[in-house]
Amino acid sequence: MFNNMTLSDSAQQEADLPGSVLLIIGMVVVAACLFLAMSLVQFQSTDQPLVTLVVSNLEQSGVENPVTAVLLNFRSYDTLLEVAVLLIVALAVMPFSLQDTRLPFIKVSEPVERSLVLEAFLRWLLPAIIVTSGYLLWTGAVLPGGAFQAGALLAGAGILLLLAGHHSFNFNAPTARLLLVVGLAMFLLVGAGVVLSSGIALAYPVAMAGMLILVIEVAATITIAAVLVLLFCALQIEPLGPQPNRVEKEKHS
Amino acid sequence: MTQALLYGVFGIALFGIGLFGVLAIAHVVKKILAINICGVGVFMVFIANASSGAAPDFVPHAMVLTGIVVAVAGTAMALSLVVRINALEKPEEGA
Amino acid sequence: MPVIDVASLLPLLIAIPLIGAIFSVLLSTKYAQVLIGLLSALALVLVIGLILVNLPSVDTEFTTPLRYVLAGWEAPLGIALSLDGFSALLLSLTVFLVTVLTFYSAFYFAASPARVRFWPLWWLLVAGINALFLSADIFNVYVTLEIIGLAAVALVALSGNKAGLTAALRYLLVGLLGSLCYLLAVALLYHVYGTLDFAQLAAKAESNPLSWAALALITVGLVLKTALVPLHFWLPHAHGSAPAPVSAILSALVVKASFYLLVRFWMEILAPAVTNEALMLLGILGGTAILWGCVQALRAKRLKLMVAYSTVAQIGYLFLLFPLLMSTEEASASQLAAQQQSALAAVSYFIVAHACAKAAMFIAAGNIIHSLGHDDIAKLQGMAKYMPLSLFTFAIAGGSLIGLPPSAGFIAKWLLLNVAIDTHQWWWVVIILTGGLLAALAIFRVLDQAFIKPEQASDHVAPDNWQKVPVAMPVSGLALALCTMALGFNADLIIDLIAIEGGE
Repeated sequence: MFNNMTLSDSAQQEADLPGSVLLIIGMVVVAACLFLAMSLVQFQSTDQPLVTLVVSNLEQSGVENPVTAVLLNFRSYDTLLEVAVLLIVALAVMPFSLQDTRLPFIKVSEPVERSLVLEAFLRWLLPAIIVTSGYLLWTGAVLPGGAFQAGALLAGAGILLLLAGHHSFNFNAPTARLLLVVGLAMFLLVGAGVVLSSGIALAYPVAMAGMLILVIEVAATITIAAVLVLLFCALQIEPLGPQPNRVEKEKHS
Repeated sequence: MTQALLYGVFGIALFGIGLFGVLAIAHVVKKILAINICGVGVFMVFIANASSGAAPDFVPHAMVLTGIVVAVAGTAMALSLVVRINALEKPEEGA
Repeated sequence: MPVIDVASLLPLLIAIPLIGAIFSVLLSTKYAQVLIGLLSALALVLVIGLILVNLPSVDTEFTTPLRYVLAGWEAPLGIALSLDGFSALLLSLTVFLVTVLTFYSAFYFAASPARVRFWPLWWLLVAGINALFLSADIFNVYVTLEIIGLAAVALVALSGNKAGLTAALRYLLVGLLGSLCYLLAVALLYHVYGTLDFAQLAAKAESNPLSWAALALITVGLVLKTALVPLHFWLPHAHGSAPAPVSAILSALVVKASFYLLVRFWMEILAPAVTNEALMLLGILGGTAILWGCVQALRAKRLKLMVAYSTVAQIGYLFLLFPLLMSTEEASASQLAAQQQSALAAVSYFIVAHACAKAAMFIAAGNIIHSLGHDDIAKLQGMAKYMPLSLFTFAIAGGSLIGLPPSAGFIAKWLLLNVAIDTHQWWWVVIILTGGLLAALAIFRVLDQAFIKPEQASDHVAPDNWQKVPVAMPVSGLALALCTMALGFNADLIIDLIAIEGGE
């Protein structure tokens, strides 16, 4: 099942399993799901102690949005590790080279052909996206929103910039590496710093909780946006993008 | 059967569909998609549980958000490996 | 009272490797990364040393596990870290192996451009392993499992060749599927019991269909990650094609991490949902794994592949724990507890013995590849005179895997045999002994080639592209191999540690 995986683009998918094996797999999966579903249906949900706990402690969490309170205060440790997961993936997909470390993060190239509509549109759109992202980050304290949503939007801006074709990002640059770790670093810094006042790692003093959460979220937003743009670069631009274009451009010139 | 329970049961069904896909389909990109379907099924079970009581429970919401980020990370990593393996395969095919 | 609050040291075990990772991303020059690595390892050793020294000993009344409530929110709202004898043992093992392997990697990756990525990923992996052993929250465990899984895959992919990348992809897909099974179980358990904390779940858990379903999902997911036969298919290639220090930590610690969780769930958290039939099933799979892994190791053509198949067999021994936990009608509760305690002690010993021996073996194999550029067993003839240290390491570690007397492997098997005989499950004795015999055949096949068969003068077996490895590389492997011997003489250390807070 995992031993003969095909990687073909789409033309040949004949390596599938024989019908009898498929039937057995299907029956096993259906039986397992039926058992799961039956046990779920039979079970009558009782009390949910956490519902009241979250609500009653919300005031001390520093934010009004209960989901943000859970993510960044009650269960902040999970989120800390989640930022570490993002760093792992960033490192895993990073197209790294030792030479590129000296080059700047953003490279602006002179466009071969300009599209006025695109450029004018981007000039309006990008600042708007960045402001909206900031708003999402800020509003996460009260309404649905927060670091991931803001980071995803910001990454969208980065990807738009990339797709417009004049800019390219070099993730081996020192600035880029700083962006990739700043979320985790800030989280650790705040988590360890509060030990001085409260004596417990990650336990924010109530008076400063809102501000500290915002600081962590700003850093996390930056890292999330950087990682998502990096993922886009690693998956899209490298194998498909530049090479055919470059060949074309050379033909033109 | 309440609405929440129905969502939970369908979450398990989605999980099963994804599981079947992972096991039965040889194409790697489809396998990755199937794993994502599995993941969506699990998240649905979480959300269904969260809304089964009188008041919504926020802890599963937060867990699902964490789970989504982890799923994005895993998917991206798998796809990047596929891209790298493909890039290694291409020259051989050309030669 | 201890001099310092030991519990407050627990978060450091996770924070130190994370800080190490951050700095090795930021400062990517060669010496900076090595320096950061050595400093982080040193800090970890200091912290775990302080914890072990201050840990309450068996004799005192204090038998609850250490607990540190993160963010000041007590469970079920917040997340706690906890440490008992079993996890303290595994954490000490982790810190010890990571220190040796960090030292080894400094030389292994000295000339390789892969080091830029290796070091941060290495420290993230260590952070994940430590976090898993400390965690007391089932959802948090999911996140740590993902950290371990993704970091391990990224490290396997460092080899960069097609075989390595394909193995990494397969490993990743299997890992993701395993994690999702686990996550579904978390959803079900949270739905039923309304808490995610280990201790609170253990107190509330009862035997109902949803608990069974959750336990089954957890077991499938984690068995997939632990690579128990028949779900072991991904392991040999992933462990066999990774860089040597990565193979070492994967075999020594990463598979043990998911096994540790299985033990936690079966012995503590969902103990009421466990039935004797299920325990027996895991035992039978373990027995099959021993035989199958050994046979495959005998047939392997490459040295690293052979060592990886031997891991499959060794994982089988670990799963013999489960049938030995079975309750019988005549045994009283206290007898059962004592029996479970000695079974757990035997298996913990096994984990430590195997981790040291297997890490030593992968280091030796890594040195051989480094020197010869290949690890074809058939071409190792007479190589002992070129790399005596590496092959000597291989021999000692192999002795421990077989279970030859003064080694830790011998004690581990001895303890396991004792429990098997005490519980009248004599058939495991036969399997354990057969496994030892088959392992001996596999190991001696290599040693015979390397030490006894004369070097073939005619063909190019003589290492023409011979590269000398820095002496620190075989020495770190030898140190680990000698540790397996030293542990054989100091068995009490480990058994006493496990006895703290008897897993109840």
